[in-house]
Amino acid sequence: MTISFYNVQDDNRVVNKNLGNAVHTVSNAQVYRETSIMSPQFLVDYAGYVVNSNYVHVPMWNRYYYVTDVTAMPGGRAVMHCREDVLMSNKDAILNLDAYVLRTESTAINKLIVDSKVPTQANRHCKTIAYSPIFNALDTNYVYLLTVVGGVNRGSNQS
Amino acid sequence: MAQINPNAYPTAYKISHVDSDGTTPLDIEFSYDLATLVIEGNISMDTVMDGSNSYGGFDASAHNYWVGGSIYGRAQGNPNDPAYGGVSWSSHQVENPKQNLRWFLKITSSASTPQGENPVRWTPQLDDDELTPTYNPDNEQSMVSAMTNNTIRLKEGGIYSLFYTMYPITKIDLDKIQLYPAFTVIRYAFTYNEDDIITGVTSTVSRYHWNDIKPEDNTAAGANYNADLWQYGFYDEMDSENPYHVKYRYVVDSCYVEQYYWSGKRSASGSGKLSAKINNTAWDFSGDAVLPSNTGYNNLYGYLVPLSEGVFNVGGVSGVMINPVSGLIFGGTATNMNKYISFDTSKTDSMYYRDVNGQGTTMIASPTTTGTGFTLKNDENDMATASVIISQPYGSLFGAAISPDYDLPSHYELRDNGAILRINQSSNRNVIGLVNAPFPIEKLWQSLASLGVYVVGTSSIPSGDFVLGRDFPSWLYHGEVLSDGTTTGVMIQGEDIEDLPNWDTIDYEPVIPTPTPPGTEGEESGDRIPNNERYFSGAYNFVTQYAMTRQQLGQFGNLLWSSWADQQGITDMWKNFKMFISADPASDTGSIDIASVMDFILSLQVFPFDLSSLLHTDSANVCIGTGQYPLAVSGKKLLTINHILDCGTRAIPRPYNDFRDYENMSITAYLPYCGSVELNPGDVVGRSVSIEYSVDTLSGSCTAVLTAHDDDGYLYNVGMINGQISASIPMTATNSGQIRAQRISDVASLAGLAGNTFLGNITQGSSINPSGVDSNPIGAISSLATGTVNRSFNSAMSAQQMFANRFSRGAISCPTLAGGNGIAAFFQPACPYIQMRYGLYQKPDNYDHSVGGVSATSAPLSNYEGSGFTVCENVDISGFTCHEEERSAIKALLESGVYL
Repeated sequence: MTISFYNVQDDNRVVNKNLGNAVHTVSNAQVYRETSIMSPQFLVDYAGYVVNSNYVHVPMWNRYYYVTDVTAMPGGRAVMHCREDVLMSNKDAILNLDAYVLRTESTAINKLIVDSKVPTQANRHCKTIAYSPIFNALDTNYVYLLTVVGGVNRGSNQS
Repeated sequence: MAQINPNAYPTAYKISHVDSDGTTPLDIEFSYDLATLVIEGNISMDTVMDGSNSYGGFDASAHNYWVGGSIYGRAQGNPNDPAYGGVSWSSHQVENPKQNLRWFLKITSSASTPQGENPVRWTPQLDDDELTPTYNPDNEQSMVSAMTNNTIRLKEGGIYSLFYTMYPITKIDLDKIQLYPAFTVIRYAFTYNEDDIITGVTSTVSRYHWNDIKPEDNTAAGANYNADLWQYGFYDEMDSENPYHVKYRYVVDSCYVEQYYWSGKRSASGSGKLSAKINNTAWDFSGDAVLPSNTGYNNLYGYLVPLSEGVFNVGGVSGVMINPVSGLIFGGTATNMNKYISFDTSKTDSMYYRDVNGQGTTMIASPTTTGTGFTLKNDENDMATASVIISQPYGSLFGAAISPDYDLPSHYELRDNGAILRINQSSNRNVIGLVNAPFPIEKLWQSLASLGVYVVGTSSIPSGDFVLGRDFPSWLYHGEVLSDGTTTGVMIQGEDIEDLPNWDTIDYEPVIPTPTPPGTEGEESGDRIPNNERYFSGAYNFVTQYAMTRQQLGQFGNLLWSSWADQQGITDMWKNFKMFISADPASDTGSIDIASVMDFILSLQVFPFDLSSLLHTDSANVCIGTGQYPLAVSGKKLLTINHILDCGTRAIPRPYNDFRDYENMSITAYLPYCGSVELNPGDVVGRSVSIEYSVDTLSGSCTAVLTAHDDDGYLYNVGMINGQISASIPMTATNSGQIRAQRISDVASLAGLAGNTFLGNITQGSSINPSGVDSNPIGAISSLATGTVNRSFNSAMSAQQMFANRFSRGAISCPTLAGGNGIAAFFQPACPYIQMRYGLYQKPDNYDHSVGGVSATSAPLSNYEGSGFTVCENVDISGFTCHEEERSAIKALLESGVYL
C-alpha cells in the first residue's frame, strides 16, 4: 500500500488543508492487524520521516489521516496510529454542498443581524443630544400672560 | 419615453441603456483602464470636445484633469500645437446658466495623450424651469467619446440611460493603494431620437472629501488592499449644539480608517479637525484655513453632506476656462453665484467672502488675490451667519477645478444650513461650483449611502478595454450595495460584481413617485405636520390675552391696588364694569367694587418662554370687559390661542453602524413640562429628529411632538406627549384654577347665549365642563367661534344676569407666584434633549476569526472558500458517499465551525 507522509500546520478544522510537498512516500506500508478505515494503523519501516510526519495520504483509500501516534516495533518497524481527516477526504463534496451558513468570518457577514454572541458589558454608554434651550426666558421678557374676559375691539393699539 | 425612478438610487458605476423596446444590445460602452485613471470628474455638455479634434479637447498627456459642468469652452485651437497640448480655449458665453447643469461623464485617460475616436454626439439641454433635459437637435454639440483605452459609443436610434458616477475631485494616488471612491451625482435618461424627449430626474448629489490616505508602514508593497467607503453617520463629537459631523469609515484591509470626520467646530487655532485612525492608531491631522502642503498627512478637506433639510440650493460659476496646460483660469462668467469663499494662505485663519461680477465675462479672481469682503471668524456661528451659505435655486453648476497635483482640490464643506465651498488656494487653479440637490436630507443621505468604491488592488493593472457589464477583471472590487441603496461594507470582487442588485440596470418604467403619507392616500403632502399651519383665533372673540413683562405686570398690580379714588381711569373703568353687575347702569354712584375687577380676570399664568416671540402678537393696552376704557398698562396681545415652538432638529447618530445601533439601545426624549418619551431606535437612529411644542396659551397645556423624515422624505411622528407648560399665579383667595375653569365656562356660555339671542342658530360647545380644571375650553370656544357671534353684550341681558349671579367675591390676595400646579416643574431644566443609552460590546479583533459574524446566507460552500471561519446550520449532507460515521463527523464539524 502506498502512503505519503506530510507535515501539515493547518488547524484540523480547515477543510482544504495546505499539504505542501510530501515528506516521503512509501509503497510497502501494510495495515497493522484489524483496523478501522477511520482510525487505521499502518506498519511501515521505521525512519525519521515516520516520526516527524503528522499527516498521511492513502491514495488507495482516497482518504487523508492525522497521525495520532507512532509505536516503534522490533525489527526496525513502526506502527502509525491514524485518524481520518473527514474534511480533507471529502473536501470536494463539502465545497459543493449548498448549505445555510449561519456565521462566517468575512465577506458575507450581515452586520444588521443581531449577533447574540458578541459579549456585552454590564454598563452602557450614555449620550445626550441637546436641543435648543428655548425655555429659558426671564421675567423681564414677556413671560406673564394675563387672560381677561372681553377686551375685544376697543383696545387701542400702540406700537 | 424613459423615466427614472428617483428613489431607485443608483448603485453607481452603471452605464446602461435600453432602446424603446428594451431589447437592443449594448450600445454604450465604457472601458476603463483603471490603472491609469487620471481624470476624475465630469464633462458637461457645454464642454465642446469636437471629435474632429484628435485630442478630444483635452490633453491628458501631462496633467491630470477633471472637468465639470462649470467648464465651458470650445476646443478650436490647433490640435497639433504642443504648447497647448493640442487645445486652445476661447470664451463661450453662457446664455442660460442652467444649461450647465448637464450630464457628467467620467472620462479617463491613460498616461499617453488621448486620441479622439468615435465621437459621440449628443445634445442635452435643460428646460428653463425644470431640471429636465430635452433633446435639441439644433443645438447639437459633440463630445469626444474615446481616448486611448476608453471608448464611449452611442448609436443613434437608441434610448440611453446614463447612470452616472461622479468621481471624486481628488484622485487618490498612493504608492501602494489606489482608491477610486465614487459617488453618484446625476442620473438621466435620455433619448437620442430627434422625436423623443429626454426625460428624467436629476439628483445631484455631490460631496467629496477625500484625502491622501497613505498606507501604514506595515502595509506590504504590492499587496492588494480592499477598500470600501461604507457607512457614514453623524457624529456628535465636539458639540451637542452642532451635532452634524460626518463620520466616514473605511475598511482598507490592514489600513483601517476608523473615523474620518469633520469635527464641525473650528478649534481655537482656527483649524478644523480631521481625525482618522489607521490600525487603531490615531491619525490626527489638521489644517483648515491654512492649507497644508501637498505632502504629508496634513491635508485637510471638507466633505459635502448637505445638512439642511429640504432643497439644497447653491449657486455656481460657469463659463470658466482653464488652460489645460498651465491650469490657469481665465475668462468665465459667474452665474447664480456671486459669492464664494476662498482662503488667503498668507494669513492665518483667513477665509474671505468675495463677490464676483455676475454678468458678462469676468475674470475669476485669482485665489491669491486678497478678498475684500469680511473675514470670517473662527467660530462656527460666525461662519454660519456670515452669509457664506450660498443659496440660489436651481442655479446650480457643478464645480470644476484643475489641480495637477490632484491633492488640493476645491471642496465643499457643510454647515448646519447648507454647504460652503472652499477653494484650495495653494494650487492656484481652482474654479468653484456648487451643486443642487432638490431632495430632503434623508434623500441625500440615502443617496450617499449608496456610495461604493471601486478599488483597484494593485498598481499594475493590465491595460486593455474593460467594458463594465461585460468584463469584470479580478482586480476590480466594488462595495456591496443592497437593493435599497445602502452599502454593507462587504467587498465584491471580479465577476461577483455582476451579482450586485441593479448594478447595471435602471428601472425605466416607474413614474416619478409621489410618496403618500399614511391615511391621506392620493393627496400631496407637505413636509410639515399639517396641524402646524392651523391657528385658532376664534376664542379671542370672548377673551383677550396679554403677554406682559415683570414691569408691566407690576404696573397692572399697582393699578389694581393703588388709591382708587385718585384714578379717574378707574372711575371710568367702573362705569364699564358695572353694566355686567347691575341691570341699571344709570344708578351707579361711582363706588368702587374691587372684587368685580378681579372677576373679569380669567387667569394669570407664567410661561417659560418669551411670549412676544410668538408669531401672532400685537402691542396693545390692556382692556377688559367691553374694552371701552383701556387701562394704562400695555402688553403684547396674543392673536391666536395655539402656537408652535420649534426646538430644532438634531441627528441621531449610529454609534456602531451595525445591529448594535438598534439592539440594546434605548432612546429617551426628555421634554420639559411634558415628561419623557421612549423612542423606537428603529424609527430614529440614523435620522434627524425634530422637536416642536404645540402650546395652548388659554389653558397652558402643550404637546411636544417629535418627528423624523421617513424613507420617502416625509415627516412622521416618532413620539408625542402632552404637558402643562404654564404655571398659574393665583390672584384671589379662590382657587385660581377653579376660577379660570368657571370663567372659561362663562365665556363659552355667554357666547352661546349671545349667539342664540341675535343669530339664533349657533352651536354651543358640548364639551364644556364648568367644574373641572381639565375641561376642554379650547374645543368649546373653538366650536363656538365657528359661528358669527354678535359681540354687543350690552344687549344680552340674560347673559348679564348670568354673570351677576356667578360672581363670588372672595378676599383678594396679592398676585404673587405661589406653589401649586406646574410651579415645581417650571423651574426644572428646560432644555429638551434626547438621551441614547446603548450597550458597550467587547468585540476583540479576532472575533470574526474565532466566532464569526452572522451571515444567514445560503450558497454552495465553494462560494465561501477563503472566507475563513464558517458555521453551517442543520447541514443536509445527502449525496455524500462516505460511510455513516464519516458523514456524522462531517456534519458535526460543519455545524460547529470549519475554516473554508
